[in-house]
Amino acid sequence: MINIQNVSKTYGNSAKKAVDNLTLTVNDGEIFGFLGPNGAGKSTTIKMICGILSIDEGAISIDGIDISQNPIQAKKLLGFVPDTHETYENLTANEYLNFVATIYEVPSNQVKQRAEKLLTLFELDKVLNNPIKTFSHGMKQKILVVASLLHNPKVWILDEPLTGLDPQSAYQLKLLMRKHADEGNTVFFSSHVIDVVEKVCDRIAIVDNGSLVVVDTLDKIRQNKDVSLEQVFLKVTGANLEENND
Amino acid sequence: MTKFFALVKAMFLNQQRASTFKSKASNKKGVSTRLILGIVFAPLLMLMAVQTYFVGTLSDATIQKEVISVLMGACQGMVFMFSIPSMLNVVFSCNDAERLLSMPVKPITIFTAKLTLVYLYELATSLVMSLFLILPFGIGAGLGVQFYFFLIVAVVIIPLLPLLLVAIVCFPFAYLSNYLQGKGFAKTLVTTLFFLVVMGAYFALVLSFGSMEGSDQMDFSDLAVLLVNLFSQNSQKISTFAFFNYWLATAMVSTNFVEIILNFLATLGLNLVSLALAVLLSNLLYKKMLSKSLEKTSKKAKDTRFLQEKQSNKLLTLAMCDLKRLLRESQMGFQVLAMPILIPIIMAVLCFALTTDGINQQLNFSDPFYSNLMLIMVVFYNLVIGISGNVLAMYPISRERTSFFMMKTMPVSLKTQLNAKLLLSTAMITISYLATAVICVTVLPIEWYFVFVLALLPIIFSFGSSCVTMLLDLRKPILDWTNFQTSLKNSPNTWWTMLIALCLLFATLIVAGLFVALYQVAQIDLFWLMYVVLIVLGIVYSLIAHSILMKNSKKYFDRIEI
Repeated sequence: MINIQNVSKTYGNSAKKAVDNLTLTVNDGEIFGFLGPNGAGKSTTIKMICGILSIDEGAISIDGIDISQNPIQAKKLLGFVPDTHETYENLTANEYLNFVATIYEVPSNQVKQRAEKLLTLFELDKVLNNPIKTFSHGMKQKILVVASLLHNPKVWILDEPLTGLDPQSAYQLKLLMRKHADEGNTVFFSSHVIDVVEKVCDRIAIVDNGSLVVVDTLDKIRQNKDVSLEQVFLKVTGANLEENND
Repeated sequence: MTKFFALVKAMFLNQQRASTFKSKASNKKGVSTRLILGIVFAPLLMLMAVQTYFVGTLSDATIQKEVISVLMGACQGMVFMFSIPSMLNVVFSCNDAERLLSMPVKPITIFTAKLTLVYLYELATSLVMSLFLILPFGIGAGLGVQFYFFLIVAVVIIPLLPLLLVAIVCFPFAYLSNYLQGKGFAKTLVTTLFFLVVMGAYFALVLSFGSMEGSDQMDFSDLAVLLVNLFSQNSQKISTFAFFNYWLATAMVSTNFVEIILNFLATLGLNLVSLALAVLLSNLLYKKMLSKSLEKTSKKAKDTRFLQEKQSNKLLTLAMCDLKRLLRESQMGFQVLAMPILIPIIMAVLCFALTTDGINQQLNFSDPFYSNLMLIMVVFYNLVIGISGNVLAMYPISRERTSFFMMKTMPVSLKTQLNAKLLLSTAMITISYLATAVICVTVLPIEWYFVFVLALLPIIFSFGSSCVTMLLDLRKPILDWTNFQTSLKNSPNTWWTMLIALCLLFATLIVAGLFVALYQVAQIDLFWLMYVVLIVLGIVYSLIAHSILMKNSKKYFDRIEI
């Protein structure tokens, strides 16, 4: 479970808050979609949940453990897939996964089994001994997904995870997210692909200008079944919907 | 030409604006960097300036051309040394090949633009060296306006020839290294070996000047007189071997107008021919090289099973992971390996030079004064070169670049992460110090057990300095660099590290000075106590530095926002 309480964040001397008094609870067993236009504060929020950014005001806890007070214990419960595809590119996939297994203290007798299962699922077994820097964007994304699941995290956070993935891998990832949530874990998922969020997520939050605009189940957000999530999103974020007739 | 200038401008601005992490206190960065630079280099540059001024006062018109030629050669030597890494990493690294090849720009334009970029960086080296080497000579010799006019020309021309030479020499190497795509460690090794071979050739050239006539009559009391004598006796050699500088030097001091113009034109012609040669080579190879750099080679997988490694503790895992990543990235690997390999090699050359008959007769190594003085000099050398060249210690956070988020997200305490980095930097420099110490006790007439003093002292001081430089890097890491080499060169941390090395040098110099004075005045041999005092001081320094690092690191680490 992720509990975000009155969290605010300002970068440097900026007058505008990147995240403004955000309060949110993400429950066990659910896939939670986190939507918002560019610069809305999605990545900032995710980085604060993962302990990458410090929190100016408020608190975030992972399964009851405060990320600021007890970061090591909280991070052990997290699996994180960043949107940048960045990792230790000069390691081979095999070396990288072994490194992650040691750092996240995955029991020795479980590492091989979990790694092989996930690698086969994403068809990465044939490139295991190649340096990650020789991988395509999609392959890098897949190795990050595999690494993030190696320790079977209680909370799985994915920032734009579908970018660069082929349809087969995107499908497998969606199934994995569902399975992980069904096992009683939390999946926190940010994306710009509204169709996917609509299909996969149990609950959805929309943020704009650092503030929470909407949070609820898809049905309650739409109110009317004829209205798509895209229309709701555009409406609540105040997008300019006038057609460009030039 | 428009595209050429646009490329130069864009690449220059991109490089310069790869700024440090913007903290509230970073406004004074520029001022402090310049201040550090000044403190670090001022004594050395002033010494050079005074020396060349005295050479100028003692030189008559018959040797002025020769002296200026050699001084320009010294400036070119500095540009040559500085420009090899820049050339490899800016012109030949191909990091931006994908972006550049997609543009409607000829590879020859890309090559010349990148070459210009390196030239602009090295122009600063040329300016500083000319101001402190050639200008004082002109003042001392009382040369006229013509000298000062051509000095400006010389500043502009000096970097050209070494740069073009480096570019031409680097081409086959860079072409080869592109075939090693995907074989990071092999590429790092080739880069480092190439650098060592070029540096070896350079040192051999410099040392060969020591064999010139008259060098065996060294008079340490008056270096200026010695230099002037050397120039007088070897003027013919200089005009032959340094003809490229001799022409410009002649233009600087000649009283014959036709001679001035002809020599100036000859200098220009030579540089243009070199430029044409480099451009011709680029036309043949550069595009192919850029394209090749984009081909990601993947060896055929031998084993498709996941190979589980034996899990060790987190500290060792982090250090080993760091080492693998560094050695497989040729730019960083080169920086990390070059200096630790170079330190014992330079020491070996110096040791052999010290054991030549001429010097042996002047320095009686059986006298405790001389033998201990030599040991102290080796320790000083290790301290200054080792600490200021230990890239692992001076750039531990910045080198993470985009992977920095891993440091923030992994469930490992910051202390463990920093200790892993300290372990790696200390282990790497320890190998270098041990090799240096073994070379010293093997070649020089000193007892074998001094190997411990020679290695232990610099290791202890290096550890403490690594803690200080790590804290400095934590305060203002540069995480958005595009070129590791250039970023490292422009980083204030590089200069801070040199300053720390110099401060330690002065501190140890004071302690050593007391014991040397005691021996000279009262003939009391307490040099063993000097080593004990230095080791104790080193341990205290390291413990305090480590404690400060551990106490303050979290505060700075939390401030880094990515």
